[in-house]
This record gives sequence, structure tokens and C-alpha cells, in this order.
Amino acid sequence: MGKKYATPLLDELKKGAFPSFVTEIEKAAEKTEYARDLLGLLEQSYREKLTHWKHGGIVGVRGYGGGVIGRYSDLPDKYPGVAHFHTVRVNQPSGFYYTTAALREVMGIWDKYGSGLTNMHGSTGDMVLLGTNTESLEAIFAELSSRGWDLGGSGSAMRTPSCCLGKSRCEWACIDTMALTNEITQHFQDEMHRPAFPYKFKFKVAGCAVDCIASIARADMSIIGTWKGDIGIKQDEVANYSKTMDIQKEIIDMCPTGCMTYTGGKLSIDNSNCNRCMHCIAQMTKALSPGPERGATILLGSKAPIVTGALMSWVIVPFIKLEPPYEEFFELVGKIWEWWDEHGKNRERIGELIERMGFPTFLKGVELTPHPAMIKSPRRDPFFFWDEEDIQR
Amino acid sequence: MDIESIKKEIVALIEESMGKKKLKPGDVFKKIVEIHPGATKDNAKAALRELMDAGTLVYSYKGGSYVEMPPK
Amino acid sequence: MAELPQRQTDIGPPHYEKFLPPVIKKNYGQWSYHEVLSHGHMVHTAKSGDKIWTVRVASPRLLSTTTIYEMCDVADKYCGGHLRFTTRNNVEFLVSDEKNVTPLMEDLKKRGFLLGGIGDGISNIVHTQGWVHCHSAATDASGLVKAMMDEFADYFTKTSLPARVRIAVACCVNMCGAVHCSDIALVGVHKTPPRINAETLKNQCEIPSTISSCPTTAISPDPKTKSVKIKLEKCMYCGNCYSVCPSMPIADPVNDGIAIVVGGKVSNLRSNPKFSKLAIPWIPNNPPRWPEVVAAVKTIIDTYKAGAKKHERVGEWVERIGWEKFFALTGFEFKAQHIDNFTFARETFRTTSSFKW
Repeated sequence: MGKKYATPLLDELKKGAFPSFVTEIEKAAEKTEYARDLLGLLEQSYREKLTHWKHGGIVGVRGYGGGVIGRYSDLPDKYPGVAHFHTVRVNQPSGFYYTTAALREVMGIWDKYGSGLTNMHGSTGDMVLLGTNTESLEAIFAELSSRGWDLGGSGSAMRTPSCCLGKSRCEWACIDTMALTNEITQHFQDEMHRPAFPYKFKFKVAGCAVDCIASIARADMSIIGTWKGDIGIKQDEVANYSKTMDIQKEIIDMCPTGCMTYTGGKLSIDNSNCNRCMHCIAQMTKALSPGPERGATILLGSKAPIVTGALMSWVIVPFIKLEPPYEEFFELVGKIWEWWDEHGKNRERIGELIERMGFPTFLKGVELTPHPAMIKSPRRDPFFFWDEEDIQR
Repeated sequence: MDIESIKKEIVALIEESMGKKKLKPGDVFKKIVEIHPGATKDNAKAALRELMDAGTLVYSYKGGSYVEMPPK
Repeated sequence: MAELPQRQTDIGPPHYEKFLPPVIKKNYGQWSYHEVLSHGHMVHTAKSGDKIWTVRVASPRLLSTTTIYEMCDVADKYCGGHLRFTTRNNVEFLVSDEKNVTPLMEDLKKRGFLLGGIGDGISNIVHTQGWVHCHSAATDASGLVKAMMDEFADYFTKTSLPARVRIAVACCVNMCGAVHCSDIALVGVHKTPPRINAETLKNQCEIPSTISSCPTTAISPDPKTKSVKIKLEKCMYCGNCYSVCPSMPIADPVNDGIAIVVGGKVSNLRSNPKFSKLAIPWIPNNPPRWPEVVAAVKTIIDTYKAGAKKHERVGEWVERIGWEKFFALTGFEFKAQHIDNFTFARETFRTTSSFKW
């Protein structure tokens, strides 16, 4: 099947060293009318500098309020193949590991019912099947779920949790990110598939402060692995690094707390002043390792700039052991959601709600104890609230 | 608790709301607990789930998730 | 249509354990260290002495099933049928037998895959859907990524920078990626207010939620038309009203463009995570290859490469030299748009008399 449309602008994006998405769409266009018409529509967008997609609508699989993003072209007569071009979010396995058998299975289903185009993966973490029609949705869901695959989240729901690969291949992981992510996902299936929150809620789990999953920037709840106790040091490996690295300049001088010294070929760390930033460990991974008591810091609130500016998550629990069955963790999540449900306005993220109601009010509402690790500095204004019990009557 | 009567109440609520103020699932639960004796958030949730499974009601998305009657 | 299998609900994703290579399952949580062997491959060593080699290749993220089948063929041949994707959408082939590493890398090269993305260079660009699939896109995302990565491919495959440079693209200010904390990020922006279609608005949109969607309270009811009106001087063109009300389209092919923000990071390494800050407020949307955008990003990278200390990220370098110096060195024009007049404005004003000439 040849090309349906001339695409001179898109053809420019087939040139160059990096793999081309246009080539990918063309490969799918060998197989599907969706992809053939997508090329035509996209070329028109490139010509006009204008998107040709409309808002979603009522579309999904029976019983679920999420997992499918409705998408319709505003030029259905001209490009009938993409009149409907809905997205199916398939919940990825933790850590994005696949066997080829599993991938072939999902791709086989997708070739049967969809455009043959995917995103591996979407921003939230799902395997994204890009472009199908309303009639195919139930069939896709039956084929997927009968083989052990479920949909991810969308709308005002818990979104598909995701994580870095953690202990599966990383020596720095302080928590089992993949196990916890899988556990959160399974524990809150109802909250994921049946949107009942004021707005979206994302979890991202990072094994250490390097935060390869960018949890601090894009998760309503960011879980970041860390430790207590002394950083492990192998002095013989330090000596090996000294042959290829200027330890004074690259490690000691770059330590943000100045808690390290390197004299007479011996590396020392004043662990009580270490803030666990990971720079030294990341640069000397054979010589240094995170301390013995492992757990995580929980931070809350990050989101993109809509509506009143981007937020990064801030500390609400300085340290928590995160081991099965994660009772303390799930209890905390329950309290946070209840507080949000009670006070949150329509489309208000948890971070925005805390800003509106006040961080101390939130802490009281979810029964957390104030701790200096929660703030960069104490307040500088003299305007604060007291409780009734603080007042003499 | 009679879940069928809660289901009826939810459908009536959504029918009423159509074309006026769209209701989010959370709004539905709050309203049902308020007006229906014996209703709790949990059984209202269970009732809505049954209605969704049966296709009596559907979820919609307009920058947030809402409960609506299915399109005719 | 043939009869469908029985659907199940609420089963969640398949358990990851089913998909782990045997050497990973065996050494789970017992890894000792890793060594970066090139921009395209690395090896992890477990306490047991077992090793796993990872070979990484670029992906446009938008993948056809055809390419995914090809990746599966490769993984079947060299990796015992195991592969994974990274959080930046690269593809990793996992090899437990050292003698398969070189043949795998040769085979991938022969098939046209681009090996790289590991270490202190430019890894894959995290990005959004753009004109490929999104209703609120102010620009395309995939095309911008392709144009930039073609220019910077050497930093992906072989050339090092002082530290990692994480680039991201968001096709509108909704930012469906971690754009706001990237070393360099491009954001599709509008410059003109939404247009109100009073006829369709009545039926399509709820007036109260449309009004409350506006962060600057620029929208108010218009009883005459049973619609809404916009106080133009208050609108900051965020497009949030369009998200809740399709009758307020904001896309404007002539005035939509691309802003560049710089200096963000998510890791805690050395310095705290940082937001990206505005470097250039608007560059024209110039598909298919956005030469003005690519040139501006190249200027940032070249200036950073020349000035940063080893291990210093873009944001750490800028903070060390100062933003006034950043504008001087890059030659980017400093405009009124650079000065914040929104939520966090007061925190950004210079409250000291020390700065650099």
C-alpha cells in the first residue's frame, strides 16, 4: 500500500541521524488506514501550524472511567481514517521490563484493532496504544484483560504509578521501587479505574536522590529512597579512583555540605553533616555506598504550571521504612485522600489545596507532626494561628 | 442498606443535573449521603459502580471526570 | 466479528517478576557497582560476581509495531528475549552473556539503530504528543525533538558534556512531562487570548467552571450572550479555559511560538532540585525543522560546555555565574517578559546590590 498523500514537510523529518517518528508512522501506514490518514492530517498541521484534534468526549470501556482518551479529528471527511483516533493506556509492568513474548502479544492485539502506532511509553508511564475507533475499544479490552493486561488511569483518578528500575539493576536503590509501585497499583485498582477524586493524583517512586523517574517534579506523591547511618567506604577502591580522578576537586570540593575530607590517601565523611545528595556515591560507585538503614522520604504536591504555577513536591514524612505490607504507608495515603476529598475544589490538585488551606492545617488534618525537614526556613512574617488550647480563658 | 434504592436516587440525581451543573462522582456521593437515609460514601460508591457496569450511567471527561447519562 | 475472550476488570498490570531476565531475578537487590563502557553500553556487577550488560539505543518514543517486532527479534537473538525501556524512552537490550555484547551492538548498528544515551551527554528528549495527537498543542513535539536530536546526535552517541543535559519538550503549557525541571526545555506558548464562540459556548460549556478555570480572573459572565467575556489585559494566554471549554479556542498559527526555559534539575546531586527559568520568551514556530529553536538551544549548550566545571549541571553553572552573565554570554536579549509578574514573582527580584557587570 503506497502513500495516500504527498508529505513534503514531514519528509524533511525523515532525514538526519536520530530515529524518525515520521518513518515510524510510514511503517504503520503500510498496514493501517489510521496511520495513512494520520500522515495526511499531520502534514496539514505542519503546513498550517495548527493542531487538527478536538477535545475528548464520552468514550471508554464499560464500567471504567479511565484508561481511554477520546480523540477526534476536526477534519473527519478529509481524513476518515483518523475521524476517531482514541488512545488506550495499558498499565506498564513496574520498571518497564518486558519479555519479547509479552510485547508481541500486546502488539498483535494492537495490529488487529488499532493504528499500529504506540508510545513506549507515555509521560505517566503507561504503554500507550495510539489511535483506534470507538467500536474497537471493548474488543481491545477483552483481548488485553483476558491475557492479564489492564488499563491505566486517566481523568480525576489515581494515575498509573511508575518508578525507576530500583533494586532490579541499580546498586543505589534504597527501597524496592518496583515492588512498592506494583503494590500501590494493585491496592488502589478501584481508585484508578473509577475516577472519584477532585482531580488527578500521581505516584512516582525513586530508589534514591538521583530521582531518575523525576518524581519530585511530576508526582503528587513523590517517594524517594534514602538512608540513615554512615556511608559505606572501601578505602582500597578510593585509592583506585585516585588514579583516574582528582578526588579533591571532583568530590571533596563539590560536596554541598563540606562534610568530606581526603588526606593522606584516606577519605573521611562526617556523616552527621551529610545531607545524602548522592554526588560522591554517584561518582565513586565502587568505593561508596548508601548507609545501612534504608527507607524513603515522602514528599507531596508537585505539578505542572497550570493553574497558578509549577510546584515541586515538599517533604511531609522525613523518613519511613517501606517494607511489605506497607500498612503505615497505605494508612497515610488514605488520610491524605480523605482530607483532599473533603476540602478540595473541582480540578484542585493536592499541592494547590495545601497552599490554599495552609501546610500546618494539612499536617493537622492528616495527623503528621511538624518537623524542620519539612521546610527550607521558618516563616518570616508574624502572622500565625493558634488553637483554642493554646489560649488562656 | 438497600443498594437498589440508592441506585435509583443516583440516576434521578444525574437525570436532574443533565444540561445544568455537571456532577463529579465525589459530588454524587456527598449528595447521596446527605439526602438518602442510611447511605454512606462506601455504599454510594458501590451503587455507582453497579450503574456504570450496567451502562445505565457513563463517565465523561471535560478537564475532569463527571457522571452523565449515556449519549442517546 | 469473532467471539471475544472473557474480559476481566481490576486485575492491574502483569507482575514485573515475570519479565525479569534470570540474572536480574537472581541478583535482585544485590548489585554492587556499574561501569559505563561507552555512551551506548554499560555493565552492572552483582555481589555474587554475576554481570549484566546493557546496550541502549535511541527511540523516537512514537514507535510502530513493526519496529517493536524488530526490537523483539534482536532481543530474542542476543538477550534471551528480554528488553526494557528507560524513563526517558530509550530502549535497553539486556545481555547476560558477554560474548553476545559486541555482536548485538554490531547488529543494532547494521539495522540503523542509534546507540547511546548513557553518561554525561544528551539522552533522549522527554516530550509530549503535539500535533500527532493533542487538541491543545501550540506546536508539534516529535518534530522539535527530531530536529534537535539530529543536531545533537554526537552528544547522544559519543561526545561528553560537563554533566548530563536533560532536554524536554512540551507542546503547550499543560506540560505533560517533567519540563519545568529540565536543564533545557521547550514549551509551546500562545501570545493571543482565546476567541469566544458565544453560539456554541451556551451548549458546550458550563459557565461557572469556565470562569473558575482562569488563574487571573479574566473571565466573567456575559448575560447578554448567555456566554462569557474576557478582560483582555488580564489574560496570560495559558489556555486553561480551552481545556474545560472547547468554545474558547486559543491556537493562533501566526502568534503561537516556542519559549525556552533552562537550568532545572530533578536530582539532589550536589544542589537541590531546581525549576527551569525563562531564557527566551518566544521563537517563531517554524516547522518542519525549527532552525531558530535549534540554533538557540545550540547556543545554550555551547556556552554551557565552554563555561561549566566538570559535573556541573546547566542550572548549577548558571547559578554560579549569575543570570546576568548568562544573558551576556549567550547574547539572548533580556526582555520585560523575563521578569516574573505571576504567582512567585516577589521571590525572584534581586534584593542585593551585588551583581556582575
